[in-house]
Amino acid sequence: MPPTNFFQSIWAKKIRIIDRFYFSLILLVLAVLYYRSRYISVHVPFTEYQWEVYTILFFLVSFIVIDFWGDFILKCWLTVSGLVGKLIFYGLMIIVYFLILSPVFFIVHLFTKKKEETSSNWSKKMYINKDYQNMG
Amino acid sequence: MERFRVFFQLMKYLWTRRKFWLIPIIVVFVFMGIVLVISESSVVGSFIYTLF
Amino acid sequence: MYILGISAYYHDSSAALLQDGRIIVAIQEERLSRIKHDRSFPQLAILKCLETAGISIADIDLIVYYEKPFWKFERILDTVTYHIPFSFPQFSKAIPLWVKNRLWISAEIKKKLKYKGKILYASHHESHAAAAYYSSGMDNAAILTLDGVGEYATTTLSMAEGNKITVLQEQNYPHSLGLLYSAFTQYCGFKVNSGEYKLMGLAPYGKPVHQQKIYDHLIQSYSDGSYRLNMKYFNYSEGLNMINKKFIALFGKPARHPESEMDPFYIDMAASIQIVLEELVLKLVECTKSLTQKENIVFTGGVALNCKLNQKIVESGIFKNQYFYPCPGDAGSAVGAAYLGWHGYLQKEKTPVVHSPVYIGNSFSSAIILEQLDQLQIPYTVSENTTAIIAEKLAAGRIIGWFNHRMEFGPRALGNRSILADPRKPEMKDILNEKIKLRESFRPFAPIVLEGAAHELFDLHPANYDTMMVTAKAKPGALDLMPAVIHQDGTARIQLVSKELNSKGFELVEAFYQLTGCPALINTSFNIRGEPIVESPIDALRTFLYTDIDILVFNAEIMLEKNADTEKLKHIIKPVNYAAD
Repeated sequence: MPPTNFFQSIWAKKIRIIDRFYFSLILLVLAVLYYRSRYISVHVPFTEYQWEVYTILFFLVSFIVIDFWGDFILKCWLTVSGLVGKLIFYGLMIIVYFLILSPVFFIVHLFTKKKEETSSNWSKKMYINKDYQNMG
Repeated sequence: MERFRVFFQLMKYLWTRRKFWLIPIIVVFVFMGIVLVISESSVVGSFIYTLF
Repeated sequence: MYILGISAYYHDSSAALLQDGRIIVAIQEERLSRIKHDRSFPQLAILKCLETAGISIADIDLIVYYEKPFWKFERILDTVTYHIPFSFPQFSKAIPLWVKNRLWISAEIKKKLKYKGKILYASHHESHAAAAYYSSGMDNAAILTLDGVGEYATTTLSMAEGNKITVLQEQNYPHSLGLLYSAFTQYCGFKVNSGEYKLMGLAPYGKPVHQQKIYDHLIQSYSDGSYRLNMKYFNYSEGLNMINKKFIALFGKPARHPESEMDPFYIDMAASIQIVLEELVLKLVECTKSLTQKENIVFTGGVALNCKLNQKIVESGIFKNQYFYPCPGDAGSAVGAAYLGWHGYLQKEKTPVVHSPVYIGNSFSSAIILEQLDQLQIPYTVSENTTAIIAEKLAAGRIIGWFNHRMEFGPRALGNRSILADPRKPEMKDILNEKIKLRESFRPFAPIVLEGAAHELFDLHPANYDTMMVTAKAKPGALDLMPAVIHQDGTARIQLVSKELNSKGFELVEAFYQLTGCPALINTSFNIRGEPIVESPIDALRTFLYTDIDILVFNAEIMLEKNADTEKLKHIIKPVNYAAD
């Protein structure tokens, strides 16, 4: 897919309120996990980080409530995660292609004899699976 | 569940076709496919850009 | 018992529904999704098939997919591996499609259709062959299938007796006549998979000066009909193009830029590859004859859409009877798949073919059309006797949009979703090409001809001339009578019409014949360039409004003339921009 299509398709995406709600919920869960892990060993009274919690809650609620803000944040997230995802995916493709497929290719070619030129190109050794229930 | 059935059928197919060398590649891709499809159909799905 | 055949993901998706051995409805997805050559999962087509038959998905006993997904996947991985390290573009393009949909076709079918029954898989060429043979009405025949590529096979010779089809020989990827023709299609600046018929239309204007070069370098043909492509010149196994630099160096000119001015060089190229294709296929037909010793041949697969080639097969007289299936491309394979479920898997005996394999699409009753027209507040006239009126209008040079009951299945409009005009006027070809179809001026038009009168006008041989699959040589009188439909090389891609096949179409041509003495009409598909053939009354209205069609006729009863009232409709029905094909 050309890069312009990638960005266009993300920014043209329709984001529903429920999506924004879920997104905020996920962030909230992450925030809770973060604080739990940070303050798990020492007991800190709630008042100590009250303002941080309130700021986070403020942002989360505003994601849901304010149309533009929520859309913007979500689309930014989609762009960044999409790019990272694409990088990982193509990385994987390159790894599979060059590290797994290529050595196999050389091994297979070592063991297969080159087909000799003949006076016909009909193939009689057909693989036809008469079992209609089989996908191959 | 259907997808796992397809996966096993595919492995069986490669076995009967004696194409053992294709197995590792296919395992990687099939696994990737299953993860992607499952994640896309869950709540998290709307936050993952459809990669392909 | 109902069997659903599905063809999807490669060229044209489609669905076909078989009831107790007979195909009762088949629809291509492109007609409903309005995307030409739509290859997505044919959800709309399937639902429309069920609706037309008046059943639900729970009534379906079997679903048959038209090819073997694993087999094809294996071929792709094989090809990619063979061309390491140059095949990465091919690899990175193909893998995502496979990982996402193509491998999971069974899961997709079950999920999208909420289907719980059994799913079967037929092989690609078997589906092609089955669609053609079981529709042909023949009891035994040799079948020649030629296309781009299926799973591995590109050319198969099969034999059919009773309800059984046996593959005798095959040729495998990458040696393919279909792909060879596509390579030249791309070289001449047309789109692969859809521009092949333009190349064929261009061929008669040129001289086959490059023929020897093609034989010397690109293809080796053996005496037993088989052939081998010289893969040094082609790129389709590794990259995303059909041809490579060596191919261009061989002919000395770069590939033609699409939509650019037509250079005579490329016209000669079209003529050369057409001749080569014809010679190679005739060799194959001879080989089929000696292998099967049958009297009938059924020719199918994408290459069978080449009606000039079909004419050569018919004229060669190698076989006594020939049948050309009207939907030989991948869309038709949905029909083949459904048939294989019945005859192949369930081993049922053949039933006599009772109706045409073409007029099996969905239809709109006059009541529904009237209701829609009333809603849009368009004035119309309803008359029992429209054919006489329309014949007069045609003779007066008017162009008619003809929308009649069941839609055709296959790439040709055969008198149910057609634009009709007077073939006696030579200028009609340019008017239709430029003002209505908005397409290239070299493209020919085909006539719909009364069956009874055709022998006097055309050289006919034993074949099915009723579906525009074969061109026929025009006799001297024909050119004077209908100059607009005779192509540069003196042939016409005729469609014979009879009362049994298409009663309303027959009545109209008959009325025109009585009036003018010309037993034919120009018949071209009801669409503009890049648009799929119209499916619904609204599609027809849209094309009617934004082209120079003068009169629109629904079901040979309801008539709309273009006037100030219909102009007002443009506020309600907006035009759609179609990408050029």
